Amino acid sequence: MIDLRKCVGCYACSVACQIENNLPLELKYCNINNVGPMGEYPNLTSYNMPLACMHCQDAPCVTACPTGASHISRENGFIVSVDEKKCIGCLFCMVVCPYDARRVSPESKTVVKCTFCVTRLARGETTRCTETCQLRARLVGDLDDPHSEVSALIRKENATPLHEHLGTRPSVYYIMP
Amino acid sequence: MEKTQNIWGNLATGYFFLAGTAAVIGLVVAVIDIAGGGELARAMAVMGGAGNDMFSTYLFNNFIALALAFALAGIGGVLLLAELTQKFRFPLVFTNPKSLMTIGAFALSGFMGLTFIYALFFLNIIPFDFTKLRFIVAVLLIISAVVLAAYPALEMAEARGRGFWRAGLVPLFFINALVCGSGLLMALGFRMAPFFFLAVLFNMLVLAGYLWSTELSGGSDSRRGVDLLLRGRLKTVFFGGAVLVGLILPAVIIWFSPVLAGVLAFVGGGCFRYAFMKAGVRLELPGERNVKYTDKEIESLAHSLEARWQEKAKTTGGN
Repeated sequence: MIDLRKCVGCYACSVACQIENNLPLELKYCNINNVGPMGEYPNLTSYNMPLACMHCQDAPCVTACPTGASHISRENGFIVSVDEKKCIGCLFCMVVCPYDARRVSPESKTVVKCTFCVTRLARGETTRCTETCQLRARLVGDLDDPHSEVSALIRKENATPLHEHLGTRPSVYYIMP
Repeated sequence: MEKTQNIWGNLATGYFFLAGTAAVIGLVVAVIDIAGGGELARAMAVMGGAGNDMFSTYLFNNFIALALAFALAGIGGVLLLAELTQKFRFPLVFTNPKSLMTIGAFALSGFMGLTFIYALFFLNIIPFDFTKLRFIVAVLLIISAVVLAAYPALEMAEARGRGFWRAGLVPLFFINALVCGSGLLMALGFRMAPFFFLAVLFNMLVLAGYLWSTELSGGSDSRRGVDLLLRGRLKTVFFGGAVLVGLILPAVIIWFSPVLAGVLAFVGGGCFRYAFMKAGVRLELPGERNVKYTDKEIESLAHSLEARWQEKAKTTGGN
């Protein structure tokens, strides 16, 4: 879950992700867009919007993939992963992803995306972006557990996923400013 | 914000276009054959004389049409292969039958195989008189051709964030493939001007209806797609190529030169597919409008900055 009221757009999460995944400079799993300014002077507002894979529960990329390279791994939660050895680079997953979350790796020439730090989660750690965020704008938790901190915050702050109407059932929720 | 759809490029567009056209050529040949064309030609041959010539012409024309369909589908397959970033892994495309792309790959392979076998009947390598076998191959060819002509639109409709592709592309793509396929058949000497003319008129109606309904009832991404075609950067290729060259001119010229009309319809069909592929822009993400630099540009700026720092470090001795 990402609290947009706290995000200052420092890019620390984005850079930490690049370091964690050993990504080249031009490849980012996490982008940050600046939204606004909106409203009318003097009542203007602007906020930052971190964007990455939403790990959709009804992921169009998984349905589309002709090789099964894009799949949902359930060992460490509901995580959409890409098996690079199976990817043929047809880019169908990139076309159907409404969140622009996928890129072609210049090195492996396969499609890559946010792994939700699956190896860190397996070790009992949190994701690198969450660990790096100094303002605690990011929070990782179990959406299936109604008593988890993240579930409680979603209820309390009325957090919503992005483009919910598309029916992809994203696992990333945003607390809007 | 996507200015146009740039993930799938011209190679994928070319594949969809050629595969659709090839499918319709195979479809028309098979339908005419099993609807009685083959039996009529055979009956002519029995009469001898001029009937024999007509039978030979029938066999030759259909063989050439099937050879063209096979070649177009083959070229399409090569274009698809060229679009893959991991070309040598292409056999994996057959491993997930739940994916529409896998279904399409099976349809293409099946279509090419069946077209090859079917063409052998028209060369009399497999005797043309094997009516039942010819009928079975023709029916299977029709099924694979329908799937091959329809699946690209279904595949594109899977993109939930690209509203322009979501609603009713199947009939539009199918009717356009019908125009292109019958156009090429006319260019080969098939006499189907009335059918072609009706297909062109129907294509105009379906196209206008599609754009009108999408602009009226679609979301912001759908409307942006329509806007790109009618008023934006794709308007030249859409109005000039797809509408004028692909539909209006063939509808007028067909009564004077069917061959030219067929060729123009084929060229216009290519423009139509290109424009529709590019117009499928993704739903805008929050703040995407404010993104001023692409990742590549940022990389270039970062490298320039790094080089400048290195240079400065040298001149100041690292202080």
